[in-house]
Amino acid sequence: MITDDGLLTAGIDAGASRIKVALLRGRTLLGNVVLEEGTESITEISKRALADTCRIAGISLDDIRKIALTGMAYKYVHLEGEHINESACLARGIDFFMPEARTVIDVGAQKSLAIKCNAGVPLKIRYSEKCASGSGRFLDVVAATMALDKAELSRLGLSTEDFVEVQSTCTIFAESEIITLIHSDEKPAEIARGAYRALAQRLYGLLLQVGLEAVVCVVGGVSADACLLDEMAKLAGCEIKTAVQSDIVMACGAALAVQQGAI
Amino acid sequence: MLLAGIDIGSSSTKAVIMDDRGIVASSLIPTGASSTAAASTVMELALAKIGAAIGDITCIVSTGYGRVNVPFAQKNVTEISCHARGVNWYFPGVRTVLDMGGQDCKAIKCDEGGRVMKFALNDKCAAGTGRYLERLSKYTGVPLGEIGPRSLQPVNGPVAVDSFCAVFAENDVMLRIREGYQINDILAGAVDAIVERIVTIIQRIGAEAELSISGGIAKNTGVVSRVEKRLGMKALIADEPQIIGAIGAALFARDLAVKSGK
Repeated sequence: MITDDGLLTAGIDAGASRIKVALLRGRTLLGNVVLEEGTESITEISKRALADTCRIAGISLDDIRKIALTGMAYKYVHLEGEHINESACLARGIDFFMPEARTVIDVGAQKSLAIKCNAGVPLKIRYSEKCASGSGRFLDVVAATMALDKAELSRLGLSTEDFVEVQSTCTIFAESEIITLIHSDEKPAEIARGAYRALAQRLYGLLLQVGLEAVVCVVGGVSADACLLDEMAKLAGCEIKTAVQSDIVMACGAALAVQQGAI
Repeated sequence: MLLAGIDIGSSSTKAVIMDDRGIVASSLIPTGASSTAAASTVMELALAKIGAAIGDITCIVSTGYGRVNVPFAQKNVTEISCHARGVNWYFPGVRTVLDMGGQDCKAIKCDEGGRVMKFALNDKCAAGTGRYLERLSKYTGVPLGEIGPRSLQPVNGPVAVDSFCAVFAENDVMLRIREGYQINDILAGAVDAIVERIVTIIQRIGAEAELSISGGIAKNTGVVSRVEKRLGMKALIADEPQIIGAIGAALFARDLAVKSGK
């Protein structure tokens, strides 16, 4: 069981585009760091993120009792650690940040994970990992096609309630569809809104598979996107929340999960 | 009597002119931004080859994804029907047709008269379509025409590449390049992945001899030889596999002309 004896653990969440590290003593978050992946190896970036986190927390790397690894790229993190599966991390992490959440979806750069949970335990789990259409990657491609950054895309989408339907599910086909829509003189704001709506529909579909129960929470890289949350709220017919430190929910969940085994 | 078929695909537009004996002219151009303009241009190109004018053509049928955008066609017919009909004219013994274009992939089962018995189609996802190969070419810097041969000459064996999603496959390819794998090995893995998807589509209709492959993909020896190996049958390929749909359309034009007593 989780104790408050001050056990020091780190969670490393190695995703498709970023490495997230959280350091916890018992249930106290001491520090966290998020680094973008680049040309360095995943292991090197993870080491750097871990060292940075230790510095922020003012502790020594040697004080860490146990490291937990999660995320789709966890097997490329060549550090001594215990692998904790993503649904367990998500359930524990959300319990730490927002214990009232019952339905949670983590929207990653390459895949999404929806769970129904209670008291840190996942009760139902669904992944959308086979294709990029239900992931943050879809929005990356839309933004790049419209020559905008993600924040601009979000603001543009929020500037209207009207939308143009983006019919292609496949991210690659959506790219050409959006080019066609731009050339057909459709309003950029409505194209953006349409793209958000399409992604929201797929994420909502994943939520329905685990069963929608309030409180509903979105975490992960895209959870800060107000336009996506707005579209999801419309579909779900209820408020969609996001955790304050939405990026590190999984990493915290991993650090908490490994405390059990570390005793 | 001259008859014409026009096939407007997502990446190329094809025209075929036939007389009672067979093909007299054909042409192929990129579709570009306007399918209507492409249809006119491709038709003019084919007509110029035999010194004919559009008024000399008794009947014209359009097909393909832009088939409704051909104002001078008397009728439009789905590409599924046209491919079955066109292959049947070329190879009467064919019962399974695999056609892969720029943006879709279809498997068709047809009877001895070239009629469609069953078909399966992927037009929702770029994995398993020509688009995947185009992007593979872009990310590896290997020209489209060299992908097939090079994929058949791996150095250390194929490197695993995601077979479900073209976006993930691209990530895999870029990662493998960064990791220093041989380009031929990466191409072998990527073509394995695309064939995996194609075979799934064919299995939905059940492959029955003989097999024919048409569309741009038929020119990719890497794809063709892998499909042959997986299905255990040789593929019959026309001299110009990209005009099969247009041939089918021209044959439907002949039916129409005969029916209307011309």
